[in-house]
Amino acid sequence: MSDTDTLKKTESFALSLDGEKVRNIKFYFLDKSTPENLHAFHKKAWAQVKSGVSLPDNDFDAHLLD
Amino acid sequence: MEFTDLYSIAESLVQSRSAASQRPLIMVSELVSPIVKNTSWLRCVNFYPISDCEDDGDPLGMFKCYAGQDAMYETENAWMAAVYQNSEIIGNNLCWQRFVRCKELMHIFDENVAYVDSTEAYTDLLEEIVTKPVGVPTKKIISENLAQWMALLILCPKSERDKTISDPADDYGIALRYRIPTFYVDAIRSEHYETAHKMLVK
Repeated sequence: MSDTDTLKKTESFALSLDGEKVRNIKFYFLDKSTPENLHAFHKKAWAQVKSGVSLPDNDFDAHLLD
Repeated sequence: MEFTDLYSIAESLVQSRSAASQRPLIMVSELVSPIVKNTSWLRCVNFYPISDCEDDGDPLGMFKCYAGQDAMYETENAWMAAVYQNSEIIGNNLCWQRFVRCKELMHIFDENVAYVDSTEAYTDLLEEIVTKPVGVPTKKIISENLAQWMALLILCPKSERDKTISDPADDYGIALRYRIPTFYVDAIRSEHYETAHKMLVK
């Protein structure tokens, strides 16, 4: 994913201030994920945590002020 | 702990860093300690990168709390909050990692039902700014979209956001300053940031 990726678009529309179009802002977190997708992802994630495949990565951005 | 308490911490941090000529950055990792310390039911928060995800359908991130599902977290009133990140899609992009993890972390505040209940003011914000809901927004949609606004407020508190209004830097420059995805700079500079601030920061 690059800094300028806008991800998958879903139903959206222009912002409106006093009837004037301003710009499109699109959010995307829920667009493709069905409850089944979410359940499957959760199952996979927890399995990776329990098996040790995924380890806590809690200081991932702590270096930014260095 | 309420969101407004965490926001105050973030605002203080960026102001002190700015005064010390440091970058006005909020580290998502530094939010965990005050959240755990001030949330009685929470024992720890862990961020987990998740691999082998599907290209289509898997979410970018997920927030779950565990207690009693695993021996490690079986103690009463001692929950582990897990923030999962879809590493297949996000890869090594730190800006997206920070935003997705911060956004998921904000679901800690879902416990405060006042934020999740649909109010007229919130519905206006949702319909103005976010993916248009079909019919009445569900609590889940409200929670998801409020979490995105909370993440933006934390990663770019108002004292910094106000500087971006007259800043000649382009979107990428602003995104780089706060290490957020360029995708969200429009939202930060929009008037709706003010609406979200008024609604979420008491």
